[in-house]
Amino acid sequence: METLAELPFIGDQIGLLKPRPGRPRPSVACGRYLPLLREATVIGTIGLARKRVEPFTERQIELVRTFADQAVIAIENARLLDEIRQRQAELRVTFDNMGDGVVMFDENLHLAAWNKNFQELLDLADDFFAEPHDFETYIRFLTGRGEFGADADPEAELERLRPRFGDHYSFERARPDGRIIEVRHNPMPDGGFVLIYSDITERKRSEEEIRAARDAAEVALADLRRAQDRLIQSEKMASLGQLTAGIAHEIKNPLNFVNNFAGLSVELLDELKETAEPGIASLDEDTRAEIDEIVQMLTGNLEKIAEHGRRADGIVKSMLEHSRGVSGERREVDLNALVGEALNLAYHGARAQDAGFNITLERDLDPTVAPIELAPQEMTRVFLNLIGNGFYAATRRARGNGEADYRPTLQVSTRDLGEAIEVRVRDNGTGIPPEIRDKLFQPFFTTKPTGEGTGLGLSISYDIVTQQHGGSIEVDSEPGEFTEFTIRLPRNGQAGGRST
Amino acid sequence: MSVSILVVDDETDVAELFRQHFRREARQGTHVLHFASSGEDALDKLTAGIEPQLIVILSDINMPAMDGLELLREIKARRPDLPVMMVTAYGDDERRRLAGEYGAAEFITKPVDFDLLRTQLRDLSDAAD
Repeated sequence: METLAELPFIGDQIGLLKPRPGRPRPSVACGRYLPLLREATVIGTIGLARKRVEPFTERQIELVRTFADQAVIAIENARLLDEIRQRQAELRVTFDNMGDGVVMFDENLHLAAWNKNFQELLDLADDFFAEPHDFETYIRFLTGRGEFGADADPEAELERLRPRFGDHYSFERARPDGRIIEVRHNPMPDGGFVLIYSDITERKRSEEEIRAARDAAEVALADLRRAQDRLIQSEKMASLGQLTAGIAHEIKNPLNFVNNFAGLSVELLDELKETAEPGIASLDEDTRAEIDEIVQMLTGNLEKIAEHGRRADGIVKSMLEHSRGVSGERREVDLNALVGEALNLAYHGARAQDAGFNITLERDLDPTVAPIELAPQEMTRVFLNLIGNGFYAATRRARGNGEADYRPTLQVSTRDLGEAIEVRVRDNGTGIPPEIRDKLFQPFFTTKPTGEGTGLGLSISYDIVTQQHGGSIEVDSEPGEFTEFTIRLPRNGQAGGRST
Repeated sequence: MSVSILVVDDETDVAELFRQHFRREARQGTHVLHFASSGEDALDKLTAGIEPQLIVILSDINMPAMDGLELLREIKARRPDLPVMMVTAYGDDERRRLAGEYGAAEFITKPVDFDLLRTQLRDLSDAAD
């Protein structure tokens, strides 16, 4: 700190000694000025003056110096108070303009401070603050207003909250008006706590919207995946169908040769027998018998070749069905009549093949089914195939095990769905194990013994329904219980099939 | 009286098949079978002249290079009155339609029904008399 002696004389700055307009100039004989010092900074001067010329005593100077020190303190205090007031005003504005509602309970749990948002967020009228409150009266007030639910008990609420006064925690609750608030509880170092209330209704709503949007997107994605699977499946089936037809084309010609030459050989053998007759007659008995036996075996072999050739030809013809495309003539038909005819045809066909065949037929044909345009011959093939399979499964179950009260039944139903029609063929036969359900519509897949089925019926049916009619064919089954095929044909079924 | 039949097929075993089926007719000398293994070959033979009188051509449709339908148009351009029967393994509507449009006398699907064919040929040779 600088000593007084070193300070410059600053008496000119003292307004008291300056002449002012309209004021008589003070007549001063002698004066003494002392600085007002805060720390090492001069914040003013204090002057001493008198009308006679006489030095100031040390005591007088000391008195003024003491006074100057007090004055510095007083001036500083006043300045600090101002500053605090200003800071406080600033804080108040900040406090009131915070987005959150803030309320403070002091160490005695008295309601000590709160901001405007607190009052607004919790709908607290000015009346509420007119009288003193503590945390308990506050909670009772809120409970009474239904803040914690219609039947909430204030004592129970307080019991719940009391042990947690010293914890940092937060929770969310819905207010009676439906708005959702988040409450953060922050303890203060010297006891008491601050509660911060935030209105998170909007946040919750947008979270809910995002969740709903995400759910919708997930549903759409799942739909897309399913559609893609269906598309892949249908593409796979279409290419399998094409492959099948292609193989058939390639086999058909050589097979024709086999059948033709086999037929010719039978004729040639007959001619040979005829031509060689006189010569053979002249041979001895043993040689004749041997020749006869060989000719008989050759004839038998050729018959076998012809028989299996015919079988192969049947398979090839079925395979070629895959390439028939949309050649089938389309016209408007009465679906119920078509289904009914197919059912009769299949039933009598089965009876003709096997006299012991019997089954209960149930028809549930929707009389309101409006005429639909389709390729009747092709669709009849599909119905015959499905009904035939149903007969087979029911018969197998009837003969397979000793269920005394088992009654083979086949049900055919139709339904008008407006934009589409639905045909169901259901049997109570052996059912289809889940592991082979995916293969059902593949060409050549069959569970029937060799020679009984080509494995082409369902794959051709699939082609006819999906490719030619733009429809769908699905299967539902419970092994040992039932099998149900469901065909849906759209009314605007554009023939999407290929032609070869 | 003897007549000729020309069979066109890229499968040479077809010649053998026809030869065996019509062996009696060949022996009796009523029919003479001629074979061509392609459309071009058939046209060459036609240009060179076929003896005795050619009453019918039987042609496969699926053949490499010139197919049967093309051959049919060529033949019809040269010999509009000569009957041509189309033989094919694939009896689809489009081919049937085109064959009819180009003037085929018959559309026969394989395997060929030789008994029926024999009757049809007899009618043709009767007409040629």
